[in-house]
Amino acid sequence: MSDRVPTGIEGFDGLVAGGFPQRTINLVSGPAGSGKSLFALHYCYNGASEHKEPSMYIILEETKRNLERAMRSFGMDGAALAESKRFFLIDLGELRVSGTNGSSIGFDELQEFLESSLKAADIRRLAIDSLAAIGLHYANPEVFRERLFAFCRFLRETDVTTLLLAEAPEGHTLTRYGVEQFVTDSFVHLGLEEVKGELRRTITVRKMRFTRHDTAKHPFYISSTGLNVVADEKVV
Amino acid sequence: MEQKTFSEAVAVLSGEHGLSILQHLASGEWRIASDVSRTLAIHTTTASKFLTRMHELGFLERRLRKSHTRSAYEYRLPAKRIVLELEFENGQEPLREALDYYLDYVSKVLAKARRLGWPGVEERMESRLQTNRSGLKEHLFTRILDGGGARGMEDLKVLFSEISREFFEITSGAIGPATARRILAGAAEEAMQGRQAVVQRYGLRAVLEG
Repeated sequence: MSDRVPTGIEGFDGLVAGGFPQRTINLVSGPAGSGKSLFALHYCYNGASEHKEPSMYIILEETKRNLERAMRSFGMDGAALAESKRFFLIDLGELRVSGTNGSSIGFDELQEFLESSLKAADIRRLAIDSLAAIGLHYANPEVFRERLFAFCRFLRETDVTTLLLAEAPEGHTLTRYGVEQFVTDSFVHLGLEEVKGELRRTITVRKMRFTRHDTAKHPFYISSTGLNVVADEKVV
Repeated sequence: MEQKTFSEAVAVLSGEHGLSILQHLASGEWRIASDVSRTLAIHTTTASKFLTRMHELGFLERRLRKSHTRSAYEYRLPAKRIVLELEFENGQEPLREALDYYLDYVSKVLAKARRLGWPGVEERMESRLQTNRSGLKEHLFTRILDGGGARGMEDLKVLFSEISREFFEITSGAIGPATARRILAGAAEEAMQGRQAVVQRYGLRAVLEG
């Protein structure tokens, strides 16, 4: 039995020896509109539909309606999988509307939710969208960093392979807080580059523990079926 | 409690046997009128009259005990403390406004559970709402139609406190107590909008968070 967790994204798994290593924490970062959520939707949806692995996608920022709409537009039938309890699209952003501890969700609330739900639904794949929304809970970046470390320790004790989505502000930084990539086992960066007045999408696997992975920057495009990585082309 | 009811309550409690009867029932055990009359050495009719009135005023709980030969009401004091609150405002307690708040709360909890997306939570909540809690719902709605009554608001709070507790059990069992608390607190807060004065004055929200 393989110890890899394939994403099912056209052209991507070949770059990383077949997929993410099992029971690891993996970071996908990129600027707004770079395709992070779609990457994570593929990961969860393909896991549930093709590999029969119960998958959970946690929304903290987007609306559930938007995500469902995105899925439909790329031909993903989330409702059928939800019915069979293999795909859970959970809108924890709903809890941000008003709460006893303010208007955002912190790692503690998220962890408590996961402690109950991961076992209850036998979840194998998890995507959390996004760390930026959790960061709003912490006034101080140092506290965010400390809580992120603790949260990752918790995730490592579970049986799930996790994708954390992180925002990369436009400019030179790869992640908003500059620490996310150090606590995760892998780091995939999605880029949006302007070339001759047009935006070009790129993907780079910057880090992946336990894996001999491709390190080149590759172009990718979004078609009617979703993300397609052009593995045999490099961006120079 | 409105002034008329308050005066009646004071009259009953200050009657010759009022406090002795309450003291006897303070153990929380169910007693019939003949138990009370025997213990306090008073006539059964007197004991029965006090017990009936104390129940009508909301101090005592009552249930029917049936046997092969006869039926009799049993009474007990549900708590070891009685608090009388006198309402000087004219008119009835705003039961309909309170009911609107609680119904809005329930609908917001259900909507939040649905949007959260955890399977089964909303369905189980709806199923629990069908339950008639020991006739409390019918009793309550009768009181509302009657225009209030001394215990109308209290009954309403008891009913929705129970519903909220059950919502919490269902939600926390599925997705953990912290998430459950946030959903319920969020719904209670949102339902308050435009009704803050009534909610605060009558402590409507507090019973949802018990």
